[in-house]
Amino acid sequence: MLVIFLRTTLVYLLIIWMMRLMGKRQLGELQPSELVSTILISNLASISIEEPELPLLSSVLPVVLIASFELVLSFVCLKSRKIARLISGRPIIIIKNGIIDQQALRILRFTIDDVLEALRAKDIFDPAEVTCAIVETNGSVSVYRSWEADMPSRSDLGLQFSHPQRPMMPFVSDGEVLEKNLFWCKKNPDWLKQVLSQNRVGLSDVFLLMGNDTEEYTLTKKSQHG
Amino acid sequence: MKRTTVAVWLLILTLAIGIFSSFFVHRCFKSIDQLLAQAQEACAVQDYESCREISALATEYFMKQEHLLALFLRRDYLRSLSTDISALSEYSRAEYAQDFLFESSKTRTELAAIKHLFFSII
Repeated sequence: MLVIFLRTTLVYLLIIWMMRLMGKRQLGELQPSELVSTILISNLASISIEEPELPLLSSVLPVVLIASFELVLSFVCLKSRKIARLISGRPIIIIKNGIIDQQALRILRFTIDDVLEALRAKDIFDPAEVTCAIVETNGSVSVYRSWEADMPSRSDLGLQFSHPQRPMMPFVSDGEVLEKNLFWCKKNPDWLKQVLSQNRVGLSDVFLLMGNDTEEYTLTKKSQHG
Repeated sequence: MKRTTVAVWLLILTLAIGIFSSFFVHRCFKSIDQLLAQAQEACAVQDYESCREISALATEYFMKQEHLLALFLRRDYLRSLSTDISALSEYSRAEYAQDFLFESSKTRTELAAIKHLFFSII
């Protein structure tokens, strides 16, 4: 039993390390090679946990190998567009100027229901509103709406320039100061001290402090219970 | 770039482990097989003292390497091999000569089978 405990712990830590090594791309929408490596790694990892007869290396080595291949391959794809296209394919346009490209759908083995579903996910109920829709290499659909159907921007409406330029960012998270966010919003530790003293709280009492490049901020204190 | 460097080093490491394991398993199994062959020859010429010594040597050699072999081979295979090799010394007597030859041949066949499983790609 202790052996299973140790093996599981080792494999678990290894997988976390491998996923961290492979980076955020593995956690977001996956390219084909990334999907393959994620599936393989998860299957291989379970082998040595389920079968104590097998040596740990028979699971660990393939996992490390696959993660390394994935990293090297992504580096090579970065340097060579040809290889990137070979591995991941290329984006395909399925709607042009409101007209659905049926040939492209046949190539992709997309049904019209798949297209309509993808459009509805973008709050589009009429393909005629779409100037361009592209199926990306990771299977997601990117849509560019026609001028008539698109939402107007502030500049379209002739609205005056107004603050804030920066979004609301966390300045303090669970008592820890996030200095990069502070400086990005043109604030400094003195401003933070001022806010804390105005609200009569110490840094360790702050659960969340959000702010932007204006004077507005939101402070949430830590609750007493839990 | 740092990730790629780590990946390259990991690739080199896994390759090194793979090459080491191949050489190690090949060398161990070859040594044990040679010892068993010598023991069989000794038994065939009725030199049971040498036969017992060589069998004991084979057992001792296997026991020494077993923990490292366990890193690369299935434990149930190694357990079966361990049992077979350990029993050989008991058969190295005049009255059990045929049994010794049979058991040692069986053990050598098992060695060859495990080696084939380890090195085969398909």
